[in-house]
Amino acid sequence: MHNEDVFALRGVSFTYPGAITPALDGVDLSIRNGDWVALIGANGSGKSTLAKLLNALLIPTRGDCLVCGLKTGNEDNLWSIRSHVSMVFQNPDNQIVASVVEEDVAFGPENLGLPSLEIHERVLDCLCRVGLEEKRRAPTYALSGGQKQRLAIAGALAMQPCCLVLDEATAMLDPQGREDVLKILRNLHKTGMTLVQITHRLDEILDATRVVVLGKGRITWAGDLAGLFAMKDCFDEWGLEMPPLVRFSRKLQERNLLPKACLPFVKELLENLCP
Amino acid sequence: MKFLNHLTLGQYIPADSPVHRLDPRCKILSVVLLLAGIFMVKHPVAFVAWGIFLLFLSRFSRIPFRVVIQGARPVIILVLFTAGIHLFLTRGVILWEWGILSVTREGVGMAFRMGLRLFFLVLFAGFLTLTTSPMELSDGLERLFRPFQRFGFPAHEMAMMMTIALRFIPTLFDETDRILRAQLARGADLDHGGLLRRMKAFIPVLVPLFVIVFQRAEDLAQAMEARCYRGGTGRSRMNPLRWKRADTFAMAGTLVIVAVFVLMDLGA
Repeated sequence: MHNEDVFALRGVSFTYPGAITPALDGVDLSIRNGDWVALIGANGSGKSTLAKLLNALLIPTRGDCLVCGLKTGNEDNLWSIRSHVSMVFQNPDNQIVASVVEEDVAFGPENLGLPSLEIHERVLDCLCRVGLEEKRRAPTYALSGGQKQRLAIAGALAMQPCCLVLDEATAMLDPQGREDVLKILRNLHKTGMTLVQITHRLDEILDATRVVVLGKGRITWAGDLAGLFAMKDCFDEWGLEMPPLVRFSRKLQERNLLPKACLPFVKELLENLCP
Repeated sequence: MKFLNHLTLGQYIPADSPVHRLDPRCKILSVVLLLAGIFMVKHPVAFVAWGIFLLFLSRFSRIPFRVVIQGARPVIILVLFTAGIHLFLTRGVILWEWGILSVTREGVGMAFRMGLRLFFLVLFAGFLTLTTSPMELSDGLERLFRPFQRFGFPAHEMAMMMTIALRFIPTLFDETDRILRAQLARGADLDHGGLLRRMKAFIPVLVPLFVIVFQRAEDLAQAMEARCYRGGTGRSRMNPLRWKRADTFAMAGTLVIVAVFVLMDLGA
């Protein structure tokens, strides 16, 4: 394990009780401090299981999962791991505990037993980071889907983790809500936070520094974005859909209208089209 | 299922009012006192006085009276049922008789009193949840029940359960509404036929609702664990409870009001 590794998984397998086939099978993965890793894959590929292993919500049935050097299999490490790694789930409604925005953000720090003044400071800081400071006293049921997910992120950030794991956190949001969440993630990454983003939407991973593709519980591909979009004939096999801009640039390439493959960014595409 | 749109049961309405600022323990104890007082009065004049006090409380807590009344809508049937039971089953001077059913003078009085008592009970209890966030309510209950912990009473767990139940009331009613609409769109007939048929028609609503509730419970438990929740041990509070002078005044005021109303009733 490298000193800067936030996560180190060695031959990790996980089988749900009663299941015959493992949800994860012999996964080896290292994630370094400051990485933005996109975990992608079709439904049932083991993405959410892997996310829960990273937060010690699940313990590997085989192999070792180390978080900040702490083994998740050791029960004494659980709370330390969970204060290092925060998690945001898919449905914001299922992770909001309190009925008032600021009380929900305070839930985590309260569990850590922090003094009242520090909790107040953390709550205000986190609400500002997700742009919900004006909704501080608002009831949680009155928030929109996007605001609820931003609240969930604030609740996770209030733990002051070194890593944030997002399990399809944008899946239930409208385009504006999704963009708001992605903007927050970009800002968090700029501050040096490690991000593990689980999704099956490739247009959401354009800021990731590394991409890991999961299929049937195994890592089927790992690399950077340029490498991912240079792959041919794999996306259907992985059960993933290429972003429209990548498809468009490929069509242009096939017709020799584009000199080289490019990342799915409008600016880069234009630069290649009109050098 | 129109009532789902107007449900305020268990909802907290944030506002900057003197009632909102009171310690939750003070509010819980005051509501208990008020409820005891309501069950001690009999005279219509006393009920009018309770009604006026309710109006005053609504203004003072900056909760629109309309919202307070909406909270009682779901229990109107229960109030009418209770009143009906007392109307037909209380013995006394018969005013009207038809077969086995009879209405007595005492029954009319009892139905009126019990119906109003239940109605006021719901409204005053509603005030507690409208002006106190579930977290505060949970903290208040936990502190009030703390002495019983030495006898094995799970004060924190009970309080947290209540917080979550209150938090999820609007969510689950939204969910029920959504399932109902989905079933109606698929041709379910929930409004016609006898009681048994209607109950049967609700099975396709209840089954997915239970599945969703269990799924939500599982997800919420994981989300709470992920945020380092491990029961009440070692937990601190963002706003620790502090009994202030205003709470003492409010308690004393409630005692005086209850005493005055009860004495007024005795005098009448």
